[in-house]
Amino acid sequence: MLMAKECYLRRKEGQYLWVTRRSEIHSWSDEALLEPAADKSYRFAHAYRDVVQKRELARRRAGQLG
Amino acid sequence: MTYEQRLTDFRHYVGAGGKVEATDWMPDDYRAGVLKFIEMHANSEMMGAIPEREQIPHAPSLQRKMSLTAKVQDEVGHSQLLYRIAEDLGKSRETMYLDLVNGRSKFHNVFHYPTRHWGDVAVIGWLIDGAALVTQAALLESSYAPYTRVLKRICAEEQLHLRHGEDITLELASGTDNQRAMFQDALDRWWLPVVHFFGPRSNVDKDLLLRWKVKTRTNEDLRAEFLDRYVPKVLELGFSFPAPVPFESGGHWVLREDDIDWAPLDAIKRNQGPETARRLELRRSTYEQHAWVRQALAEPATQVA
Repeated sequence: MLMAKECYLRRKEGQYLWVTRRSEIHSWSDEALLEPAADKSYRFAHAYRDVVQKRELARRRAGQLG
Repeated sequence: MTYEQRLTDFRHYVGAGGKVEATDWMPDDYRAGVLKFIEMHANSEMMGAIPEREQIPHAPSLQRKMSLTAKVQDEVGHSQLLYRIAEDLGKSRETMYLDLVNGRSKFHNVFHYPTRHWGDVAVIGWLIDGAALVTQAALLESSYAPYTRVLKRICAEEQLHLRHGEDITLELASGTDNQRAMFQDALDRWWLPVVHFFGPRSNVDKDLLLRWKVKTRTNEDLRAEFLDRYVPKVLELGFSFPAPVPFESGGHWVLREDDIDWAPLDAIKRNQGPETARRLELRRSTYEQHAWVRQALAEPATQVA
């Protein structure tokens, strides 16, 4: 516990400390499990970064109807 | 300490900006008021998933179908987060769910209306989520701390829903005459419900939630912010508003109170909206049909010999 505190909380980077046996940890080794099955970019802001151009396009289209 | 003394201390504490946790002592009306408010919000996220779900089969592309499905998934997740913190105030999730489907509790007005076509998805995703974000951002200052923490996650996801809604809107707005007509048709039907969403003028003296700083801004103030932000955006895309038509006054976009027809909202407050009965029945029947899943999860696992 003291070793962990020295390693990880030297600069107060956390509020709690949990120490457990490695044999108690469950994890997976297959990297493929972490990959999403399809393009799910709509969940992230970067998929909408072309909004400025799209707004301009829509304004111009509105202008054509004048 | 008497109840009166605790109440006085609590009043000073909240008045000075103190935050309340689930395990803190609360006046009875604070607890009841916050519970009812969060419960209604949870109900609204749950019921809000249904109108958009109706349009998933009508998505114009596979990518739009996937992104709308993801949005619906997020909304149901929000309802679960909110029911979770409501439970800590002393009402079980089962009771809240049964109150909802039996018409004893309420959900936001906008989710009582039908959706007709993809134009509705654009208006819902842009203007309704936009309205919800204005009110939810203000609630980040609420005196009830668990609510503010859950709202951080909810607002972050709603921001993405808003971008998604704007993306769909811009696609329609820069498209064919037919696509533009779809958006205008949806706006013609949804504008009044969006105005109703903010509610009538707050009664500052009688509003328990404002007094206890669970809500920190009045309904009319939030509506004013929404109008200033979104009216110009709609107009610059070349669309027009049905009644109540916003106009410029003193540098702001405003509505004439006499132009607002409150009758539809009064019906919805009695759970008599156009789609209320049908959608609550859908929730009630799926709850019954899925009882076997809850039973299976509740049973202890059987060991295979």
